Amino acid sequence: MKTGALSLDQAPPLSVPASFFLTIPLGVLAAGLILMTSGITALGSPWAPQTLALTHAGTLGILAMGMLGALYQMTPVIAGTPVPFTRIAHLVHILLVVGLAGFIWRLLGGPVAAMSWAIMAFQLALPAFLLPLGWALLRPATVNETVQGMRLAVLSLVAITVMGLMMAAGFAGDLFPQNRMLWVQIHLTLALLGWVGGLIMSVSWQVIPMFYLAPAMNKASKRGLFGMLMLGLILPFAALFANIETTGWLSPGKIVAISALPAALAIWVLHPVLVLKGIANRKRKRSDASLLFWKAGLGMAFLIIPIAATALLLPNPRWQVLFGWVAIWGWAGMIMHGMLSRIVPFLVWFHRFSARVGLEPVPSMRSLLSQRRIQIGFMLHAASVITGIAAISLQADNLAKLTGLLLAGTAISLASMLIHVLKHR
Amino acid sequence: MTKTVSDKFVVLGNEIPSIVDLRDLEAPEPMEKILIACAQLSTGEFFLAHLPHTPNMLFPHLESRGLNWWVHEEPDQSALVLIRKET
Repeated sequence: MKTGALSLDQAPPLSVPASFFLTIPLGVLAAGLILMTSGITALGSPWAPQTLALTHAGTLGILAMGMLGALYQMTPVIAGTPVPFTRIAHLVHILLVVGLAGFIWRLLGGPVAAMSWAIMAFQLALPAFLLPLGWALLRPATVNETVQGMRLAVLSLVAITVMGLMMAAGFAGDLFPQNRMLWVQIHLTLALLGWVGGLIMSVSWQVIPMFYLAPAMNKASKRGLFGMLMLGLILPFAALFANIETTGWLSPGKIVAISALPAALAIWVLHPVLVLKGIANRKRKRSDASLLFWKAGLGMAFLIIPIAATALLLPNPRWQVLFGWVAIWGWAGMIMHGMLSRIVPFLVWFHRFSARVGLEPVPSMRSLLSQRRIQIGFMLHAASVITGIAAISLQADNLAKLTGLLLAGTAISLASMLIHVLKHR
Repeated sequence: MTKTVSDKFVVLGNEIPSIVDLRDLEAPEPMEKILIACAQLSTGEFFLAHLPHTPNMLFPHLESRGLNWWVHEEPDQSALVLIRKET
């Protein structure tokens, strides 16, 4: 059997994922600057505008940038179908940057018009991203669990973007949706578990065996995880339309959080257990600094459900902030940083050197990035996670500012790593 | 009944090359090995590799080098890739 193949013209050019990836250090730097200027105000309550700005610097400026870049690159490879009009990705990238800048500016005291421009940019970015990518994901040459996970992640992205835009209208002079707390809870559940969790899970099924020679996860485990994730996403979303009326401690928002438990267990307990087990059973245990990120990020995942449960039970808002910090920067941020340190050298090698293999001497992929650079990035990232946890727990302004400084250091290290690799020709 | 290599690739006929097992190599080493081996193929000669999955990123390179290829996906999602130099 001869499969339909990608032509070199159909494969996404390196500039597509690279533009998204190169913006990630700016997202990290923005988060660092917010912490350095706002201090503990940005880590005290989830409702403070500074906290919302910090959160979205993380979710949009760091995670979404990496995930959109990865989806453009991986969809043709994994699904076997090219993404049509790939160069529209550059427009999506610009709209995302403009939208995020306006969003953060408004939250930090900028004019109402900044949010209106941000909403317009996101409204344009969503279909520009969704239509070509959705087209490729809906008619793949190969249907496997990874493709299904990517579809679920993209579907979650659509839902959270629509909900997010409706809530952002409240900052642009319109009204917030009725029962804003319930909306926020569903928004963050779908964002962290469906969008981020769904993509990390499905991509890990591909990259962990491919890059680290860990045994592939069996189909039953993949299907079980996928089923739990689906269940834990449908239940909270159904709550939005169920018109829940409750009194006392069990608010609608808390019902949503509890109903997401199957998804939370899949993403923050079972998936880390299975992947860590796979990493421990690698066929060839070669030293690789990017694995430090995977191990640390998956280890942090185990803290998320206990912190979330504490945030539900105790009134102190610092627990909610701690939940967001550990989930965004400790779990997802760590894994993304690790993936970048492995995938970017691979992409540079593939786009710039693989065509010459066998015809002339070319550098190996491993020679494009030293382990030392990855280790420095890991140490800075890990230090910022730890000081952030301490700052939130102790509500210490100095520690919050120190965390901001460490984030800035991480941003510089990450930018230096990406530029160093991308410079190879 | 288990299929033989010639059942999986009818193009082979009786000329069955040995299978080079690249499943225990991390990316991009399998691609490197295949491209190096293919650079040494004579016209009409086959190269057969066993890979951990279908190598979608390899195909554009095979095409640009004027090589023909066939893929057989195994039940465990690994893939046998048969490559022939045509001209």
